[in-house]
Amino acid sequence: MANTERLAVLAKVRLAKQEANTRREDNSLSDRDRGLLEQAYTLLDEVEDDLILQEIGDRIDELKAASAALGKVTAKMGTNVKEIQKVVDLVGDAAQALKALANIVAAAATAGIL
Amino acid sequence: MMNLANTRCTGRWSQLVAFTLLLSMVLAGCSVLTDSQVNVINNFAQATKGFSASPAAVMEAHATLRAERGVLVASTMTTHKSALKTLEQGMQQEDRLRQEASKATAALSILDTYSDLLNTLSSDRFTDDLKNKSVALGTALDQDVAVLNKLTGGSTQSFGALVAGIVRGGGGILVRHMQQKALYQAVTNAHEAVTQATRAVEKLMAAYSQLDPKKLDLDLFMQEFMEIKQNFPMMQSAASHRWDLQTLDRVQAALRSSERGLALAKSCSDAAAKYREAHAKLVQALKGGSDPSFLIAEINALAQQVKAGKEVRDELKKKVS
Repeated sequence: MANTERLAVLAKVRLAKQEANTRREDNSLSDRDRGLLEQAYTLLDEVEDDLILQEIGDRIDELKAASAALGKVTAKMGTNVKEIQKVVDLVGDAAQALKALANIVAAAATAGIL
Repeated sequence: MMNLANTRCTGRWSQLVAFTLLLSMVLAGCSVLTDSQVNVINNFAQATKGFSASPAAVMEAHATLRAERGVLVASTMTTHKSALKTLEQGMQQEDRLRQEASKATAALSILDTYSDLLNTLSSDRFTDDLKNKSVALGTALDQDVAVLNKLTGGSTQSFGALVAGIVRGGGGILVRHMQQKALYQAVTNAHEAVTQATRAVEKLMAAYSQLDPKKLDLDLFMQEFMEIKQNFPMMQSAASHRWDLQTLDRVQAALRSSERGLALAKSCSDAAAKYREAHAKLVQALKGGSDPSFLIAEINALAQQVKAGKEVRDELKKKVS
């Protein structure tokens, strides 16, 4: 069902529900008639709920499509963040390597190897 | 012999220094973004932090309200079948609406990821990290030189601080260049997707807030409000011809939730529109190479809108629970 068509049906269902509710307020109604109106109300409520859910579902699908497109951009951003961090880490790795070298040479000298 | 080793060592470092300086000069000359542009992107990232939480809160609030309306209307039914059916229908619809809210939350989380990554790419995190690692590198070099001097009896002067300074300076320029390039690509490439996503948020929120009275829409909070009010006369106790306090309390809470939900939906819609406008102007400024500082006021307004949404959201949570 198209969006506008669905909303038009929904408006009619709501009017019918309202009508059923207004009539339910009538104190002169027989128990049978009141029961029938209550049944009608619950049925219309069910239809309204389904229409609402379909409409919400369609709108969320649109949101999901847009989010997927943005997801591609953020994936690339994530890759860029990792690349920049790699450059920074290179300096850290070099520092670690030099520190390890100093420790090895110092230990070797202490042990009399050098 | 020692002097020869020192000369070789110094020669290599001179080459490295020259290369780093050259690279820095080249990169400094072709800066992708200005500091002002980076700052505005950072402001934008801060302002849009947590943007996605409110639309999902609107949906959750409506789901809760739908179930509550089921209880209130069920109390007006005179047959057990209709009362039970009304209750069950309310519970079922609440569950289904919550499932939709979860889907929306998942889809919207990408906007938060985008803000977080913009924040990371426009921050000093990498240069600060580089600074710390450069200091460690300089210290390690000095340590090596000291060990070498001790072993050989040489007197090579420490040059760790010099190297650290060069690596920090040159590396900093390289890192900033990479950050700016990534930021420019991200913001300009995200333009279309951000436009679509924020429009989708507005459309989703319109289902809850009837933004255009002339346009037929779901108008969910107002419908719940009206329906509870319409059923209210039938909630009166048949015996006492009065409304008991518990009923009045529940009706009041439900009506208040409708109003707050409606306000939050409108706030989310406004925030989505401001998000889109600010982002579009940011893209324009980056592409045109202009100073986007004029956007600060707009970004602050967006931040206020997101913050206001959070406040209504917290209030709504209190009322619903």
